[in-house]
Amino acid sequence: MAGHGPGPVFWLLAAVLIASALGVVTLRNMVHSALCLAVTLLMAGGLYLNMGADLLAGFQVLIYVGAVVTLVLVAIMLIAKIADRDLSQTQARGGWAAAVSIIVWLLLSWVLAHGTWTPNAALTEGGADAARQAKALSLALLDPYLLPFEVASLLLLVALMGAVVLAQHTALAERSDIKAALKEGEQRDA
Amino acid sequence: MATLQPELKANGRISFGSLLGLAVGLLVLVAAVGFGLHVLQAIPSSEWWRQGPSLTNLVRLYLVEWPASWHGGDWGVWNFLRPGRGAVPVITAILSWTIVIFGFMLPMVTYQIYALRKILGFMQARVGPTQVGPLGLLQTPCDVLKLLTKEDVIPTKADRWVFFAAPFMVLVPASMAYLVIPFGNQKIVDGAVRYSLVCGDLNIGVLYLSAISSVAVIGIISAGWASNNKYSLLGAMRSAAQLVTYEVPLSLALLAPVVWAGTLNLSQFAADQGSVWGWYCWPNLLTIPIFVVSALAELGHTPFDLAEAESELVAGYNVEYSGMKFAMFFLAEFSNAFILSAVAVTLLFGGWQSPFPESWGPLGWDAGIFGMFWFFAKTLAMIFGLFWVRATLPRMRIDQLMGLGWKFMIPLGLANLLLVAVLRVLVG
Repeated sequence: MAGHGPGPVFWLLAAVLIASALGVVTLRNMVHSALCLAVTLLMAGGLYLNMGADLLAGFQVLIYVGAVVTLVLVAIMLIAKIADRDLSQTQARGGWAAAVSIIVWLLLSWVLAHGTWTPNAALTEGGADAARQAKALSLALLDPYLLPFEVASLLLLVALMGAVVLAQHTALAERSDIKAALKEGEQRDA
Repeated sequence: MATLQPELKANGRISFGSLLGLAVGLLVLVAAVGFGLHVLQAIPSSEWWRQGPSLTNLVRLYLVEWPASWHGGDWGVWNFLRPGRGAVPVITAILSWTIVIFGFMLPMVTYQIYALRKILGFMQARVGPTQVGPLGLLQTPCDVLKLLTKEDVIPTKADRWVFFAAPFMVLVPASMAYLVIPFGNQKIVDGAVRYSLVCGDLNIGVLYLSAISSVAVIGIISAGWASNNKYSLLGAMRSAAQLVTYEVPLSLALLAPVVWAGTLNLSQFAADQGSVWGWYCWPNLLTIPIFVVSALAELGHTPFDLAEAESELVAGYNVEYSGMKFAMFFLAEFSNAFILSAVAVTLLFGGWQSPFPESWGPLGWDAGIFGMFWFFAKTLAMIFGLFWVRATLPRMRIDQLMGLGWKFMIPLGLANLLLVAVLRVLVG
C-alpha cells in the first residue's frame, strides 16, 4: 500500500484524527469527548495500518479503543451523577493545557527531526508480514527489553494497589460511619 | 375503501393497461432467462472458472481489474480513482465483504432467529412460529420488513447523535468480523493464493477479531446512556461489566490454539489441521469449555442474559430503541453467535476440513463447495449447541456471574494457556 510520501489515505485519516482530537478537548459533554477519543485512537490505528504495521494497529484498537475508552466511559458513569444529562467539563485551564501541548509538540518535532533512527532490522525485513512482526516483537519484548517491560507491569501493579487502598479507605470510613450511627441509635433507644 | 390488490379486471373487463404490463413483464422475463443462459454457457471458458470460481476472484476480475483496464487503463482526470496495483486486493476484499454482508449475513441471521424460535419451541414443548408461510418460514422475513417500516422513535430527552450512532457502533464491528472467516478451502497455484473463500486473508486474523469485537462495548454503553432511561443505563452497565469481564477468558481461550498453531491467520489455521486427529481440539480439550462459557457470556445468552433480564430491567440497554435501530442490535447479537461459532470451528474443529479420511470417497472431499458444506455443518452444529444451552439453563445472578468470571474463568484460562504451551514444547 505504501507509495512514496503520504497518500490520500494518510491525509484522510490525519484530517479525521485532528478533527476528533479537537472534539475531545472542546466538546462540553464528557461522554461526547470520550467518544471522540475513541475515534481519535481508531484513526491512529488506521495510520499504523497505512504504514504497514498491521500488528501495532491491531493492538492499538484492542487496547486503546477496546479497553481504555471503555474504562473511561465506565469511569464517567461511576463518578458523575449519571442522572445529570450534561456531564459537563470545563476549559478553565485551557491556556495552561495549550502551553503544555505546544511545548510537548515542539519537543517531539525536534526529536523526530534531529534524532537518528535505525529501524529494527528484524521488524522491517519482511515488509508488512504480520507473522514475522509478531515473532520479532515478542522476542524483542522478552529478550533485550525484558527489564523495561517488567518495570511497566510493576507500574500497573502499583496503580492497582493504590486503587485498592483508596477503595478500602472509603469503604472502611463508610463502615465506621455506619457503626457510629448504629451506636448512636442504640444509645438513643436505651 | 378501494382494494389495494392490483386487479387484472377493472369493471369486469380486462383492461388495456394490465395487458401491457403483462407483455412488458413477459419480455423482461425472457430477456433475463436469455441473459442468464448466455452467462451460464460462458462460465466454463471464462477466466474466472480457470482461476478458481470463488467470490473473491469474481469480484477481483470483473469489479476491480476489468473496470481498471477501461480506456487502456487511462481514466484522464479520474485517474486518482483508478485502483493501483497495491490497492486491488484491498478493494477486492472490501467489495466481496460487502457482498457477503448483504447476500449472506442478513438472510442467515434472519433464519437463525427462525431456527432459534423453532428449537426453543421444540425443547419447551411448544411449536414456535407456524402461521406465516409454510411451517412459519416467512415469519422472520416479515418481522424484518415490519421493523424496517416501523416508525423510528427517538425519545425527546435522548442525546440524538449518540442515540443515532450507537447501533452502528455495535453492528459495524459485528459485521467486520466476516472479513477474515475462511468459509472454505483455498487453492494455491505457483505459491500464490489464487482461489480463496475468505474475503480478506489477514495475517493478524485472530488479533483483528478480538480487537474489532472489543469496540462493540462502547456502542452498548453509548446506547444505554444516550437513551436517558434508567433501565437502559442499568442494562448497559451490566452489559459492559459482563462483556469486559468475559472478554479476558475468551481472549485466553483464543490464545491457546494460537500458541499451539503458531499463527494468527485463520485460513492458515484451517489449512494446517488436516485429518480429524490433527484438529486442534485434542490438545485444547480444556479450551473448549472455557471458550463456550465465555462465548455464551459475550453473547448474553440465557445463563448470562442479565443485561436483558426482562423481569428486572424491561429489556436492557435497548429499551428505548425501536424499528430499524432495534433490529440492528438484534442483528449484531445473532451475527456474533455465528461469528463465535465459526471462529471456534476454525480454530479448534478443523474449519472446512472433512472429518473423514480422503479414502472414504465423497465423504472425505473438502475442496470448494464440499469444504463450505463441512464448515457450515460444523458451525450450525455449534450454534445449535448454543441454542440448546439457552433453552436449558436458568439465569444466574449478577454477583455470581462476575464471581465466576474473575475468580474461576480467568485463572482457569491462564492455567489452560500454560498447559497448552507446555504441551506444545513437549510435542515439539
